[in-house]
Amino acid sequence: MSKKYGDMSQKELLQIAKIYGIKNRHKMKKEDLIKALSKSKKSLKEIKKIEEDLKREIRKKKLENHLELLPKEPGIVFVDWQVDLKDLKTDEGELKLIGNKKEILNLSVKISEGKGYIKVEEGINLKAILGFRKKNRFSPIISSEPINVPRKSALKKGTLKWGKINTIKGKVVKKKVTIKPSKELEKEKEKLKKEAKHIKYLRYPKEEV
Amino acid sequence: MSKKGFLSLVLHSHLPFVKHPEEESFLEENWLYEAILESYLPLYVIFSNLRKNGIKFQVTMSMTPPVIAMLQDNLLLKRFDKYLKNRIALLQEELSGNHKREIKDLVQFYYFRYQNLYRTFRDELRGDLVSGFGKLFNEGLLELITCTATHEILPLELNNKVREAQVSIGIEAFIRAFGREPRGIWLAECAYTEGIDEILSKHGIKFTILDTHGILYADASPFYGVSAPIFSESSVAFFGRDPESSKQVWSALEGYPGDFNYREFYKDIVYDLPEEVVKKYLHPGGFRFDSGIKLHKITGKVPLDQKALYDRKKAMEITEIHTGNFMFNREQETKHLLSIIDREPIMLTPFDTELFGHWWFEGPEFLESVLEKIYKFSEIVETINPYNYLVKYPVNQISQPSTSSWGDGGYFKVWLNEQTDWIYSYLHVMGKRMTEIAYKYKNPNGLEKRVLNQMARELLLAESSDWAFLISVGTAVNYATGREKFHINSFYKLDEELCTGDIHINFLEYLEERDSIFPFIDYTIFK
Repeated sequence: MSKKYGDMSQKELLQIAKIYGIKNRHKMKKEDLIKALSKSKKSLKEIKKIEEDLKREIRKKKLENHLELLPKEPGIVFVDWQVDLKDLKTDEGELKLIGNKKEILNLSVKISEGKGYIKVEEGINLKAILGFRKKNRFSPIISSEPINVPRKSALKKGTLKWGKINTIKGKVVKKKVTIKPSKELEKEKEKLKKEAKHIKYLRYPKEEV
Repeated sequence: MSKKGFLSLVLHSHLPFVKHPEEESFLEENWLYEAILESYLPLYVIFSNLRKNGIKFQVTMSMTPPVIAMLQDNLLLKRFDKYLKNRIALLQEELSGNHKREIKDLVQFYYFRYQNLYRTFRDELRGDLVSGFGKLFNEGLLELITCTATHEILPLELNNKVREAQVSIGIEAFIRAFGREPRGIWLAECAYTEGIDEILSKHGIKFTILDTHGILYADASPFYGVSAPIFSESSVAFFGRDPESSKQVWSALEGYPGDFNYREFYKDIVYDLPEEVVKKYLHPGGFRFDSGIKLHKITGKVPLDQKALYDRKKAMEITEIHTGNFMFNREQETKHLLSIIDREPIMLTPFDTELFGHWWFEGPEFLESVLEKIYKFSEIVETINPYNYLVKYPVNQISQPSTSSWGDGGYFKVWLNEQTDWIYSYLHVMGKRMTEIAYKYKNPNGLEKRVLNQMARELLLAESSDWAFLISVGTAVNYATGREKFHINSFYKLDEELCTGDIHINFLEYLEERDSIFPFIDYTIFK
C-alpha cells in the first residue's frame, strides 16, 4: 500500500489486517496494528498465490452426475451431461428428447459426457432423458428438468380472460369476457413487433469508423 | 378531465460486484466510480432539482443488490472519493496549462461540474447515495424496485430453490437498504420463462417488466398489446417495453444520443496526457483507462483524430430540441393509441441507468427537461410508475408471458453460447450441492457457519450474468473468466475444507472481506 499506515484510521487498518490474516487484530492498538501489518506481507503473498491459482483452471474437473437442458433461442436448446460410469458396463447410450410428452428425437451418444446445441420445434415443453438400451429396452439413467423452448411468434388468439388485481393483497380475481380486438389494434401490434426488432443497444461496443 | 397517455420511464441500475481490497487500485473497480460520477450523481442532482422546483414526476429505478452493496461499502466509497478528487486535481493542473481558449473553457466546465458533484456527494449526501435515492422514493417521485440477488438469468437456472434464493435475497437486500418491501422487481436482462411468476408472487412482488415480445407472444395474445400490462395466473403484473418510445433513445442509428453535436464517448483526454500526469492522477501504473474527461463531440462518421471540440452550449440547445421532439412524439403516440383502444395507455420505456450520463453525456439533462416539459406543458401525457398504473387500472387481461429477454436477439444467446456454456454445468451442480449442505448442516459451529455463508456468497457471485455477458461481448474477457473460475473454485475449496474440517482461516477471512456482498446472508435460505 502506498498510503502510509500512520495516516489511516483504526477501522481502515483493521480492514487491511483482516485481508492480511492478522490474528487478535481487534485487541491491538493502532501502533501494534501498524507493526503487525508491516511484518505480515508474507501472509498476503500466500493468499494472493492461492487466488491466482483459483483463477486459472477449474479444479473440480469431475462433476457429479448431471443432465441439463437450457433454452438458448427460438427452436434451439443446449444440452450438457456428465455421468460416472462406475456401475455401468457400457459408455454407449441414447439421449431422448421428449417434446409435449412425445419422443421427438433419439440420438446415439456417449453416456460419460457430452454437450451440444439441438434444433427443436419452437414453443414446446421439452425434457431430455439419458439412458442406454438393454435387451431392446430403454433404461433411463438421468433426466433433465423440463423447459419451455422459446418461440418467435405470437400464438393464435386464446380465450380472453380478465382479472382484477387487489394491489394490497395481490390476488387476481378472474372473470371471463368476450371482447374481440379491433383490426386497428391487430395492425398496431404487428407494427410494434417490427419496431421492437430494430432497437439496437448502445451498450454493445460501437463499430469502428 | 380528458383521457391521458402514461409515460413510464424505468431506469435499471446494475453493475457486477467488484471489490479488490488486496490491491491499491484496481481497474475494474472504475466501473462503479464511473457510474457514480457520470450517471448516479448527475441523476440524483436532476431529480433533486426537479423536486426543489416543484415539478411532479414519477420515474421507476431499479437498484440491484450488487450496486447497493458497493454504494454502501466503505472501502469503495473511500476509493471513489480519491478517484473524484484526483480528477479535480488533474483538471486544476490542466487549467493552468498552456491550452487554447476553447480547450480551457471545456476543462473549466468539467472542473466546475466535478466540484459541484463532489460537494453534493460529500456535503449533501454524506457519501450515501442509497439514502439519497431512498428519500426520493419515500416522497413518491422515484419508485425504487429490486432485482435478483446477483443479476442471474433465471430462465438459465433450473433449480427452483436457487431461483427462489436469488429473488428472496434481492428483496432482503432492498428492505435493508430502504426500510420497506419492493413492489416491483427487475428480472436480470428482463429474462423470463413460465414458473418465475410463481416465485415472484410467493414473495409479494406486484409487477415486473419484459421486452416487447415477452408480452406480444404471450398465451393468450394480449388484447392491448404493450399498451397495458397483463397478469399471469399467479397474480403478477407484466409490463412490456413500448418500442416506439424506446428506440428514439436507445437506437444507435436513429436515436438522439447519436447526434453529431453530443459529446463523443470514445475520445478521452487520457490518451493525450504525458505518462507522468497519468501516473500522478489516474493510474499509478500509468495505465491509460478512460478518465471520463472527454473534450470532443461526435462530429460525424470520422476517425477519432478528426473529431471537433465539444460545444456545451450547442449540445444543450440540441437537448432541448430532442426533449421537445420526444414529448411531441409521446403526445402523438397517445392520441393514436386513444383512438384505437378503450383505456388510457401506458408507454413503458426501460433503459440502463448508465445510458444517462456515462454513455450519453447529455442524458441526465435530457431526462430533466423531458420530465419538466411533460409536467408543465403536456395536456395529454403524464408520467407514472407501473404500480400506480395498476392502482388506476386494476383490471387487466390474464395471460402467460412468453419466454424472452431484452438481450441481443431477444432470448439467451448472449449468455449461453460456445464461449460461455461451460459455466452452466458448474452452476447447476453447485446449486444442488448448496441445497444439500443447507439441509445437512443443522447446527454448525461458528466457523462452519462462516464457511457455509461464504459458500452461499461464492455461489451467488458465480451466478452473476455479468461474467458470461462480458465474455460474449469481448470486454474484459480475462477478468470475467477469472472471476467466474475464482468463485467456482472458491466454492469447492470451502466445501472441501468444510468436509475435512481443515479450514484455512486466513483465506476465509480474505474471501469475507473481498466478496463481502450480503453480510446478512444465512445459508439456510437454500433449504
